[in-house]
Amino acid sequence: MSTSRKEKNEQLVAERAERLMSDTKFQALRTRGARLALSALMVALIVALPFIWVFAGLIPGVIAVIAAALVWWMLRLSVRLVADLPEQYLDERQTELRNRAYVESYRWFAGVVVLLSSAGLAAFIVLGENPDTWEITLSYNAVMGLFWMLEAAALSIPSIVYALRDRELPR
Amino acid sequence: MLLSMGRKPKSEEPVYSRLEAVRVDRGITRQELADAVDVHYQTIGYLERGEYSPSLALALRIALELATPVGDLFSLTPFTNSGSPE
Repeated sequence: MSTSRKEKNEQLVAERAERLMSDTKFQALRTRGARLALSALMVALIVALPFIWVFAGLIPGVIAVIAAALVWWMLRLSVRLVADLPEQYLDERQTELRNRAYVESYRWFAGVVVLLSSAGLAAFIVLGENPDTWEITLSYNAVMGLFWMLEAAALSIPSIVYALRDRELPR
Repeated sequence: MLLSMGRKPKSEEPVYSRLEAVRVDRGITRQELADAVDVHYQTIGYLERGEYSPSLALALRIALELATPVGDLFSLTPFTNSGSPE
């Protein structure tokens, strides 16, 4: 990236950060209840994504991905993008809370991955009929479901944790 | 047992704050103070409620902005009615 393009990009991020930090347009998304609801909805979508892809098919799967993207966008707005912004745009309290949220997010995500991979391995061993010819067959929709579930979890967990840990005080 | 092993387990030691009283006394809004010390206005709210302990640098910047000794704003012991720490 050339210097001027990099500078322009940084300026855009700075302007966006400035706008979001003083934004009052989306205050309805920043109440305790709204943050809880958005977090719960996001978790529900993460869990439901593979089932929707596998049992309902392509179109409902795509709709679920779009819904997850929309909820993720609202969740990010509700926490003023603190989980995603570079450190220079945050103050010390936001940085501290964000860092703690990332530690916790890592634990959550590692827990999800360990649980899923252990369940997968157990199923593979228990259900495999002939140990010499064990193979996994995944349909297109199953791969899509797994991919979008992991994608949604990886992208949204930091904002979910931040939303549950922070609360907006009256101005 | 843990205490005798050197490092104490981390605990949230409360920091008492008179920030709101002093800020209001100076006629400054949270947003104005936040802009002056370069933090988000929410952070001023957290400081006023004693729900966040500032770094030394931030405490000193706030004290400078309000022209008040830092010990009159933040304390490890509750403030008395006269405004001084116990």
